[in-house]
Amino acid sequence: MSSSSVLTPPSSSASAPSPAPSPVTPEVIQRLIDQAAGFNLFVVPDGHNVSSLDGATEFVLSETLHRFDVILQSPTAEGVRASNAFGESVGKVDLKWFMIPESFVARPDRQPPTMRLDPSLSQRFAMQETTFSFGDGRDGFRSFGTGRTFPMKVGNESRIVVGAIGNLTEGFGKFRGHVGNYTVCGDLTAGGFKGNILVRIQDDNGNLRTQGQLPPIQPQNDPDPQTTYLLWAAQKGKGSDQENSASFGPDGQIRGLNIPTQLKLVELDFAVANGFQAANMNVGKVVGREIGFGRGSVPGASPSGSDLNPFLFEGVARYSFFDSSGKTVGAITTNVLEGRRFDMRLPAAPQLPALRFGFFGPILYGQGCFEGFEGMFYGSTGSVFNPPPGDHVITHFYMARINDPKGKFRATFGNDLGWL
Amino acid sequence: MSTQPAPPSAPPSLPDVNAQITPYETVQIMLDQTANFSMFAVPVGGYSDEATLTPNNPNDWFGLNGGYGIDLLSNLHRFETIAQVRSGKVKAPQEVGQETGRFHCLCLFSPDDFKWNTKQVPPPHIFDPWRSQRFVMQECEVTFGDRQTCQCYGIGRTFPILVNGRHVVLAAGVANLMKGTGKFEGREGTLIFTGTLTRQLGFLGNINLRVRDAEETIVSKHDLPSIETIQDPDRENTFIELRLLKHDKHVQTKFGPPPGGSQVSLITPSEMRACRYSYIGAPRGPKTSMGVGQLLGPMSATVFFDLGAPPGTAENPVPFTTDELYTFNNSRGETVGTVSCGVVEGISFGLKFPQAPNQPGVRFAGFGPITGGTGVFAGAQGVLTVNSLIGISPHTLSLMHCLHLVDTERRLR
Repeated sequence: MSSSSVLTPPSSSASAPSPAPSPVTPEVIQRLIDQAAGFNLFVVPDGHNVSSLDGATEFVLSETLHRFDVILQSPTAEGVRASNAFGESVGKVDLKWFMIPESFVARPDRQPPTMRLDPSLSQRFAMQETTFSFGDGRDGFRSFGTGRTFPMKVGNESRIVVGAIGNLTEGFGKFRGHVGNYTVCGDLTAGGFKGNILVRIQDDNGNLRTQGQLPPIQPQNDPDPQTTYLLWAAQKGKGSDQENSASFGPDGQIRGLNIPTQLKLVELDFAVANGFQAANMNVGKVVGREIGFGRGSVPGASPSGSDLNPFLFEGVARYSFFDSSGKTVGAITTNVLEGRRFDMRLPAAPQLPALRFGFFGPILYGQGCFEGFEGMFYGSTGSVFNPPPGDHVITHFYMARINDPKGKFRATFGNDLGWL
Repeated sequence: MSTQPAPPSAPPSLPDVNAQITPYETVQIMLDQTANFSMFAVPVGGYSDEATLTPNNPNDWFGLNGGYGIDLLSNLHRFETIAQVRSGKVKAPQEVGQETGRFHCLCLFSPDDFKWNTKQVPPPHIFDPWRSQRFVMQECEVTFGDRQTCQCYGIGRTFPILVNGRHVVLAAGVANLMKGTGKFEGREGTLIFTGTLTRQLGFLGNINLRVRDAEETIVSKHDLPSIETIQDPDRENTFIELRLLKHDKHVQTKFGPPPGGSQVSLITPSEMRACRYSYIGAPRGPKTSMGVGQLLGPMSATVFFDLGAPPGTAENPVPFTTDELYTFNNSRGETVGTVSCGVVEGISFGLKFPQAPNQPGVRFAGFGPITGGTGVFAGAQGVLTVNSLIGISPHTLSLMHCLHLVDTERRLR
């Protein structure tokens, strides 16, 4: 996703005639925004069925959180593959999700009106309260967010796929005082939500992360073998082909921003055996390129993004994956239909226009190894953005959820991955 | 004082649309002087990979195909179908034939309230495959050979539906012929299309182009060569082509209850007949012919429009909407099925007749979703397109309609 989203920084730089040299180098900024705990959860229902999915108005449930490792392999001429390891139970999540009308402005302090789920339509829902508790329950966070349903067919199975963005409203235990957000993508089922949650929590003081080795994941039976998740990171590279540029409409006005990035392998992990501990994100080699356009969704909206009024953005992007010879083996074009951006303060460089955001939307179409495949695209990101030609430093966590009943994109899980 | 409602009649301020400025039969002949192309569009393989909304600026990724618009390129094929009601069923075998030309359409998504404007690009509006969205056919061209082209401007809409649980995006559009070359030079005409947006962002479906041809330089007086049928490129949809007329000059059009504002409603009964619209892409320019088939049953339409609006022009057409009911009867007059639908995006243009300068008329076209069905059409999904010319006073009809029905089980084949 072009974080172009981030058309205007929340602080001073927008009004400057030309960007003043940043007192902090891009390398330092990169390190600061990467002080984050990024991790993947997989949620499975506990078997208590919602009475009927069709017509349901709310999903008030407690479900189990599992460790979930997605490791993208270096693309080859045969295509793009990732291992998906569904691991041990790591806690629980308490959901209070409500279907909401299209025009409803959801807020944590505003109870939504009654709205029924129609499995044939794409509808909005509010994650009025979603509480994550890890391990013995001492560590975790409460959150608020909104999302949408997307009726879809995976293999022969009709599903209600959901995408949503949540924002941490209150941390407890190790999460106390942290800011962060997550993006949800999975299925609403008669038993509740089943799917992935990609989390990014800013961790400036480092208490969520460990330098030590995490215990290996304990693989369980895959709860969704018809779906494959592909995870990668994206960061700015060097050179002219990595420069952002404005997109001008026929009227000469800026309509958005073009932002390229490099796609990279990435490894995220966490465990709860000794209390919540995340690994440092491990960003690897370049495996592709993003070209993307983005803009604010609401013309004239304030550029700032707060917990209650995040900045809304949207965009289109193409993600091309290269094999070791640099040849493109596949590409997906995606539309981000909903993006939520929050201003962020980096304690070590509070003057920087730092941002964090989440987003989701459909994979519109695929090329090469992705031709004919459908699915969803989503992610969570940290960034410092100055308009062109200013510095733009970013780390996206990108996830593609591919409808993959035949397992074309699924690699075998192994502990000795050697992926870097 | 009588409590009986007054018999339906036109309020004093409404014109008598049934009066005959020109004899009904003469108006019918003038309306029918059109070349009617029913074509089948098949996406050009691999085009989506190179398609862009910003061909003059490939480094502006606003132009990524599928984001804020879709750049469609399809081959045009001959298409013939003629519906029949027999043994309590409706059958419409589809024949897609040889390639005859190309359809290129740059569709830019727009807000719902974006007005028809041939000189302005709509503000950016992202494509959401799960929402019914409006789009502008910013650059639309039908090409036959090297020199025969129709350049059009129009509007369209997507219609997301679930087909057996699978998410499918139907798309329909209506456009006005703005500039023609070759045999199309200086012509008036209207183009409509309905079909499917494929997974690779191509357009697969029916395109009906109707061009006025009083000189009969496109309409053939002779039979056209037989269609050379190719493998069916669309096994999930059936298109029923129809020709609709009034039974005779005695059939009256009535004003219905006014829908509000300056709008009026016209209740128009007609008869629908199966019709084979044929064309070829001949070296000296395309030729068309029309073969009318079985009477299929009555069609009742209520048309809503602004009676006070000046006649529509290429720059400022007059919008309209309709509610329509298609009733398919067997030879004994028994109903085997009905289709309910209506135009949600319609445009109309004033129509003049050189042979009868005082005779008003309207050229209009539009599309809308199928909203229901009974009998053999129970559970029907799809799109209606209309491509029509009518006279006003007398209210004479020459309607080219297409019912695009999702038909994954091929019940209509």
